[in-house]
Amino acid sequence: MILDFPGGVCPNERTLFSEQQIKKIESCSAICIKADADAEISVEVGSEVKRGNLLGMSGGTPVYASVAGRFSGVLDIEGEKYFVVMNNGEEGEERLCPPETIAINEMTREYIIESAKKFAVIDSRSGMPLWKLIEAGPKFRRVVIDCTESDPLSACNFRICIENAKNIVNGAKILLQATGALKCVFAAEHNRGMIFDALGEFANDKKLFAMAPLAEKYPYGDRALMHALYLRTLAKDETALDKNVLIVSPETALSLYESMATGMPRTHKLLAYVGEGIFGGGSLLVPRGMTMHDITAICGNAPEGCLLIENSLLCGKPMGGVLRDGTQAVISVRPTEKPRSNCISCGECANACPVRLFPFEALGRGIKHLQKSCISCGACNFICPSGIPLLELIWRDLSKKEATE
Amino acid sequence: MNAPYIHTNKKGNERAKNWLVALIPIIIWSVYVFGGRVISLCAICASACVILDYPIRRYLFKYARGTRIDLMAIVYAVLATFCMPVSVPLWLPTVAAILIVFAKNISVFRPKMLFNPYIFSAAVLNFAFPTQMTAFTKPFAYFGAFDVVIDQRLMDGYRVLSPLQYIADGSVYEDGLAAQLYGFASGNLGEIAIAAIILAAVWLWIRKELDITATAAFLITILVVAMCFPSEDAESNHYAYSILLSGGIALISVFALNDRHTVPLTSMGRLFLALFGGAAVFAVRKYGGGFEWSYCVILAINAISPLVERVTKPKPIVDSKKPDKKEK
Repeated sequence: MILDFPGGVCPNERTLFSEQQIKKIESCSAICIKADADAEISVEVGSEVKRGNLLGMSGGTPVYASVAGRFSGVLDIEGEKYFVVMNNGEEGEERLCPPETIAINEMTREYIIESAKKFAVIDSRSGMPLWKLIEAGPKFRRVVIDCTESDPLSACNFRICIENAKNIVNGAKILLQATGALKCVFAAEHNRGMIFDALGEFANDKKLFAMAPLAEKYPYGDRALMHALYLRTLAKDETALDKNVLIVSPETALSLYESMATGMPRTHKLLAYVGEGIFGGGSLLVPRGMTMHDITAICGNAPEGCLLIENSLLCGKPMGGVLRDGTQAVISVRPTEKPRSNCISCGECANACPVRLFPFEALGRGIKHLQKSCISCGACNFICPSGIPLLELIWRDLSKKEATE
Repeated sequence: MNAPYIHTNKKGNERAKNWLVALIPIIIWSVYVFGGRVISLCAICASACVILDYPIRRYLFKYARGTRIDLMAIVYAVLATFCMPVSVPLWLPTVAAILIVFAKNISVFRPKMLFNPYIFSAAVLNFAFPTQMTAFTKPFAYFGAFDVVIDQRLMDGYRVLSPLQYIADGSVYEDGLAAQLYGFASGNLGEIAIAAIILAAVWLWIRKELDITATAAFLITILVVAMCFPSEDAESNHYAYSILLSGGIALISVFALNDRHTVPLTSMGRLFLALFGGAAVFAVRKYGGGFEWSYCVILAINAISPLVERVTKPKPIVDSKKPDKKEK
């Protein structure tokens, strides 16, 4: 049975790189890892560091160098602070501790939280440190490994599941142990059935694992997943954690297992670099904090007139200069303005709205009730055959306020 | 440039195109039964609608600036022509066009319309020009396509009552139900072509433009209520079928009940109004004489649509988080 959620849209674009293996990229000129305002540094500025060396602490989580090079300190770039390491091209790496020898079923919750913190395992879906996510919910009911893509053009979650199925399942087992949840669900779009075949080979204990084929609709997020899997609705400011469900990406489960198994913190992150005119892209494994300058230099830049968008063409923002921990995909697109015409009352926007609003009501005067519930997913704007910028209309008074301020 | 950065390939006038395609079999049948004058009437009404509608949308309403010709104006024009007998003078479609453009653009519940333009035009014309709008002639009596007004003596030779007028007189349409079903009865241009209307409905249903539940509910309600309350001296089934096949019920059930500009967007709302509309149409038919009161029922449905839509609208499945009891 295909699990569905209300609303959502399926853009026509399909993935271009699903057949292509994940490519590992090592060379880059510098890495910039986001730091909190109260970040502390552990090494001297100007000293040489190896990959895996501790650079400092940010928000209670250690930050490790993802390349070898000279540590430039915590620098202010465009109003935000970053740990900066200038790559010197050396290949050395330093393990944090010897590989784990304890069996998964003997690990305690505290031990796993401590390990996730020690190895700085970051959930690539939310960009949050995993230990904070686990600590946030004292009584988890379910763990969901969200194998859906952030955009139909991306295939990085598909590739990582195919190529690392065994380790992802092991990571899921550790997460079950850490959270005390009864079951782990692997959720992916139903048309990417190879994921279920690959994971099912290792996750064959039906009491512990379940496969959830989902409708091929976007955008997927906590809200859509919770509705599709458990028919639970979330309030506007709620996340799945509030319903005692831990949702993480397959990369997070993999990072947790591999860090503990090797004693080496995860210094790379998975990224889909795809879209119009990107011929050297695909599913990439890049150093954490890699700059877009380096990525475009290696994999090719977007053609003139194209924009690089982070995560989703439906609701993403233009990509900044540095990869964030929550960046799963960078998509090149040539933005098109659809010529606007009159509303034809087709109701497509109402059908596409994941929270069952009537977005066309924004054409009238009352928009407060829309603002109260709108999650700015962009589905209504995408689907409108008349090209009406419904999202802009819903938030028009806020845009005016911002402009006057 | 804000998200989303991509848009669907669907275009705003796709729906109007589907409707225009659906109207083609009805026009063909109407031309076959009533002759080339049907083309003249449709062309005059459609061109008048476009000529009047375009500048109003382009220059009067800011929200419509830069848009092209609205094909729905042509759809409404053709549908309004379908509600006229073939013998009407050639200036009458121009009046219909003025009414259509008025109803189409004077809208309180923007982007919704207050009244369905073609029904509004048909209802007003029936009140304002009762003689011309009820001058039904025999099928296959072809009049001149370019005669502005048809000679009264010529028309008198072909004048007959419509099935609806027969029912109002308490008698049975002499050519029988089959003639009505296959479209050989006297009456308005498009309303008689029941078989072609069924074809149009199938096309619209395939194109996901037709809410089959609402259409079926409307027709079944009329049929059931008519069977329950037959005319005193009529056989109940025959009476019910006659009611269903006469006048503009078929055309209304397909085109007026599925025009999302004027009916609720919620399927529950449409179903409710279809049931209400079906019962009301029968009531006005039974006690309203020969006049086609069903237009007025549809206008009433249109008027209460915003209210019904509001009542039947699903609750958003997201809302502000309720404060924790402990926090209180």
